[in-house]
Amino acid sequence: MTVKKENAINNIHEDVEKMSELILGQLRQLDELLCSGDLEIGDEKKRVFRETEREIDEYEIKISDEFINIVSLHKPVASELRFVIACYRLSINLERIGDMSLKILRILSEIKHQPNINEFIDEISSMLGMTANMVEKSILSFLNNDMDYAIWTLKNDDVIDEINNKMIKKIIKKSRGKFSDSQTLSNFINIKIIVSNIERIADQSTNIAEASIYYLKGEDVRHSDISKIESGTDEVQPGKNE
Amino acid sequence: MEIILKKKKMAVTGLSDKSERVKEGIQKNGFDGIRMETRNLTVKYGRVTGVKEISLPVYNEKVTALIGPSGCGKTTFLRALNRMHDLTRNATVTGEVLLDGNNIYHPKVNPVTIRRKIGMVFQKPTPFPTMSIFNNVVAGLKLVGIRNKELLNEVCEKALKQAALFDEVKDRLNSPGGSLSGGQQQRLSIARALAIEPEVLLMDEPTSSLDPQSSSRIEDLIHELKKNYAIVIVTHNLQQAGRVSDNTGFFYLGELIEFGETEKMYTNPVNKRTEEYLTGKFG
Repeated sequence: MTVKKENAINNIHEDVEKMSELILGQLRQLDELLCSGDLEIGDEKKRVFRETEREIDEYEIKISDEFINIVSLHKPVASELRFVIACYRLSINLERIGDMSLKILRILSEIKHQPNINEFIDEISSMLGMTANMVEKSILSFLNNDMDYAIWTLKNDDVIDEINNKMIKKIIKKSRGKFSDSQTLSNFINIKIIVSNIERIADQSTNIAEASIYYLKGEDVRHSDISKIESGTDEVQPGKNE
Repeated sequence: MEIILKKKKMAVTGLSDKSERVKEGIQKNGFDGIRMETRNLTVKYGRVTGVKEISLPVYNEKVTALIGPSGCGKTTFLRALNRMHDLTRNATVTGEVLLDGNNIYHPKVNPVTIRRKIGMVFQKPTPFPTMSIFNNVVAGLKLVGIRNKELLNEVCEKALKQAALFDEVKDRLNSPGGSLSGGQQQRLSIARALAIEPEVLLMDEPTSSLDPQSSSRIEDLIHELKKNYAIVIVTHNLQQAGRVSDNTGFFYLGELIEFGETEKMYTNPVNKRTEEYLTGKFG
């Protein structure tokens, strides 16, 4: 490998790592908010959150540029090609997680004083905790060449889907007969939006896990059966099989 | 006119009827699409082994690229495919090279016949510099005694068109081959190889001495030619191998390390050494 290519690949790797750290930081903050039950979000906290979100957006553009440059200038093949493609896919998914995290924060700060939120806060907190864990594991699967973490993430998506369905049923049940009160109705809609955004963050983590598997195994497992993905997970060191 | 040429070709090539039957079988049944195949092919120069026990298929209407670091045996292997080692002192070839199911190294097979069925394009353009463009193209046919002017004209035009050179030289077919540019000379060499209507076309780094534009034209040409021929190309240019080939064989230290679909090999090679070579860790 030429030094320039090696440097370019190291740089995109570092940027994906930094972008991932920022995302995990955002999710951690949301998790702490929900766990504490105190949704009083100060202006400074919101400002920092928005600032980080902007930084995440910048990383998305930077990684996209790096990806284009590596492909056009260094013509990567084999595991290097899969690696930079996975980096690009990760950056897109991470950026979306950033958007959704900011949306969740905005809604939480709007409904903080409404009574209905308290009926859901524990479940939302638990759902977000699990989702943040999925995001972390999916990123680690990529950064540490860990196939098990990728599989774990994909498996847990069903769990989050199930929680999401239960939450929606609960929201419908609790909101029944309260349609005349526009404020209450608005609160339930907001809770539904929070839950849906968490569910979509989990979806993004599965996309990251799939990108990781593509890098590690060279297989495109999108829209595949999890049992098929699980079989033959040996030899996951990219390009290391004899 | 084409029928006459085919009859003439049968007469000069003289391969057995079995060969024709196998060919028909390929056309009719696919025959797994294999036009040519080596089985445990080993080439030695004295005591030095050039390539060792290579078994590799060459598919019909596909381009097979051979890649690997310098000295890995790509060209040695390629030259064995049309018995060019017969001309090399101390070279010994063991194993089999099958063309349409017939071993081209069978004692009864004439190597000259084989070279007409398996055309070769070399690294450097090889026109006869003082010979006219026309005579360069039909040189192979004249060598086997074909003198019919009308037939030669037709073959020349067809071969030059196939080689994407006709429009550039149609008004100066009597000019010497040496008057053409490097890229044109290489296409002239290809036209000469095509004029004898080979079944397989071997190309040994056909663009290594050409500028990017001429290389690009040759690559387009390879893409067109594969519709009618089985092509084997040796190249040091990994990107070129990726662009033009359907299958790729990676050679290292005289051995075939990996063979498979190019797309698969370039995105997910099976062997560690292939991975390391493709990613520039050695070679």
